[in-house]
Amino acid sequence: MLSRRRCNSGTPALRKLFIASSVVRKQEMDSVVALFGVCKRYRQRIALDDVSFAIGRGEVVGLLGSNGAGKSTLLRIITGLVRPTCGEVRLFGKPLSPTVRSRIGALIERADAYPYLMGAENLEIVLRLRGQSPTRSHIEALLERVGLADAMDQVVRTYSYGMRQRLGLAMALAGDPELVILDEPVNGLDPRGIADVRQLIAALQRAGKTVIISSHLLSEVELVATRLVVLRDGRIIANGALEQLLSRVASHATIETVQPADVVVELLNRRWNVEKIRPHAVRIAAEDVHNAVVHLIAAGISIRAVIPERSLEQFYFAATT
Amino acid sequence: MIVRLARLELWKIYRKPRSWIAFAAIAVLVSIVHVVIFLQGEQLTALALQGIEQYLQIEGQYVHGYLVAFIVQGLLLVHLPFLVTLVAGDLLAGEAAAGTLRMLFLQPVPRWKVVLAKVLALGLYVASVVVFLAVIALGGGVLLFGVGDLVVLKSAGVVVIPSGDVLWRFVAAYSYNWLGLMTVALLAMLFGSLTDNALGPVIGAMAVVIVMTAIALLDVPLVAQLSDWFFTTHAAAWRLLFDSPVPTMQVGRSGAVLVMHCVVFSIVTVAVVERRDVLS
Repeated sequence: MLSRRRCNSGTPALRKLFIASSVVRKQEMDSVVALFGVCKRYRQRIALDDVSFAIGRGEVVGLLGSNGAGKSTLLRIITGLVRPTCGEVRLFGKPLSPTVRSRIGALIERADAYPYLMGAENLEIVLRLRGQSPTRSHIEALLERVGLADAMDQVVRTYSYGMRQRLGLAMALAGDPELVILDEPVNGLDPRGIADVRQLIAALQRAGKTVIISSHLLSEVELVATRLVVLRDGRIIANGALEQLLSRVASHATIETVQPADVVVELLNRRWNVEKIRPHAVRIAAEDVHNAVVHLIAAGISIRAVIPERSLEQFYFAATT
Repeated sequence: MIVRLARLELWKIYRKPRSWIAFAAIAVLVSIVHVVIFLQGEQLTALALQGIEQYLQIEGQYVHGYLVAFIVQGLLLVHLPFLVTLVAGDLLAGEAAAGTLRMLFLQPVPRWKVVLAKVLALGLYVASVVVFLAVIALGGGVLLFGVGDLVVLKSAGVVVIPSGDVLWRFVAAYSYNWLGLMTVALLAMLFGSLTDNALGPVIGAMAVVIVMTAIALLDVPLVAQLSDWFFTTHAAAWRLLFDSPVPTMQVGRSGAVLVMHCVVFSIVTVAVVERRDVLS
C-alpha cells in the first residue's frame, strides 16, 4: 500500500520530493486504471507480485506474457472477479464498486453464455443487469456490431466457438462502457472475425474509449495497441509506448535515400553488410545504422528516412526470455 | 433492483430444461399412486388397518382424495428434496461451471444482491413445485376419489379429522413443506457456492439429509439433543398439522428451526460468494 502520510515536516528537498510523488500519485489516481503494488497469491504460488501501473484515457494497452505469467489474474483483479492479496486497484480514480463497474465492459478468457437461451436473450440479461430496458432494435444493433445479428434468435447451444466469442464481445460492449477489457478476444475467430475485432478496437479508440487487450496473437496486438505491458512470472518486465519499446529491439533498419540504392550499396559495402531492398532503399544491421548514416552524409548522399525494422514478436521474445 | 434481479433469475430457472424434471417426476409419481389406489384401494385399506380393525369401525368411504394427498405427501418426502436440489445446486455451481457466474459478476450488481435474487427466485420455484404437487395430488385426488373424513394412522393412535376441517390443514402442510424444501434447497445452494461442479451440491445436500436422518435414529441421549437441532428432524413436522388438536407450539418451534437454518444457509452463501475468487 502506498503511504498516505501528510507532508508536514522534513527538509525542503524531501518535501519537494513528496509533493512530486503526490503529483504522480494524483495523476495515477485520475487514470482510468491505476494499480499500486498489487499482488496475488494462491496458497504457495505467487500469481502477481508488486504490480503497479496506470492507464490513461483513450489508450489501447496490449497485455502480454506467456501462459501463467499472470495476465488473466491481473485482468480478473481489475474487473473485481478476483481479490488482490495486497495492493490497491483504482478505476476512474475510485475503488471498484457497482457504479464504477457500470463503466467497464469485459470479456474474460472465453465468452460464456446461457446455452439454453438465444443470443439476443443472453444480451438482454446483460443489459438488464446494467439497469437498461433494452428494445429488440437495441439488441439487434449491438449484435450487428459484432456480426451476429443474423443468429440473434438462435439458441446459444447451437453457436460455433467463434459465434460465442462474438456474443461475448457484444456483452462486453453492452452499456457503452468507457473501459473495455478483452482477454483473448480473437480466440476461435476466423480471419474475417479477427479483422472485425481489429476494426472494433480501432472504432473504440476513435470514440475515446480505453481498451486493455490480452492476446497471444502478437501481430494483432501490434496492430491495435498504443502501449504495452509485459508480464513475466507475475511481475511487470516492460511497460511503455509501443513504438518506444519496439525500437529497443530493432535488429535491422531501412535507409531510404534520394540517390539509387546501388550507389549506396557501393559506398557502404566495403565496411558493412548492406542489401538493396528497393530502388531507393537499403537494409542494414541496426547497430551499424548510425555510422553508416554519418558515412553516407559525408559522401553527399541525401537521406530521406531511416526506418528501424522491428516487430512485436522480436520484442516479446527479447523481453520474456 | 432485487425484484428485477429475481425476475431475471426466475426466468432463467424456467428456461432451463432441468427445472421441469421436478414437475414431470411429480406428475408421474402421483399418477402412479392414483392408479394403484384406484385399482387396489380396498386391499390397501385392509393392509393399513390390519391389527386395529377390531377397535375401529369405519363407515363410509375410507379411501378418498384427502387420504391420497396425505399418502402422497409422505411418499414424496425424500423425492421432493432431491428434485429441488437439482435446481438449487445449479444456481451457483452450475453457473460457475458454465462460466456465466463470471459474466454475472462482471456486471454492476453487488454479489450479495445476485445471491439474494437467486434465493428469492428459488423460493418462488420451490413454491411453484409445491403448488403443482397440491394441484396434482390433492386436486387430482379429490376429483378422482372424492372427499371424506380423513383417518390418519399415527404411532400414538388413530386421528379422525372431519372433512370440513381438512383443507386448511393441507394448506398449512404444503406451506410447511415449502419451508422444509427451501431448507434443503438453500443447503444445496450453499454447497454450490463452494464448488464449480453442479452435481456436487446435489449429492452433498442429499448426503447431509441421509446422514442427519440416520444419526437421529440412534437411541443415544447426546444424539437426541443434537438431532433436535437437525433440520431433517423438523422437516417432517407437517404431520403434526394432522393431529387433533394441532400442537401449535411444537409446529411453531419446528418451523422456527427451519427458518433459522434457511437464514444461516443464506447468510453463509452470501459470505462465501462475496469472498470468492471467480476463477472459472
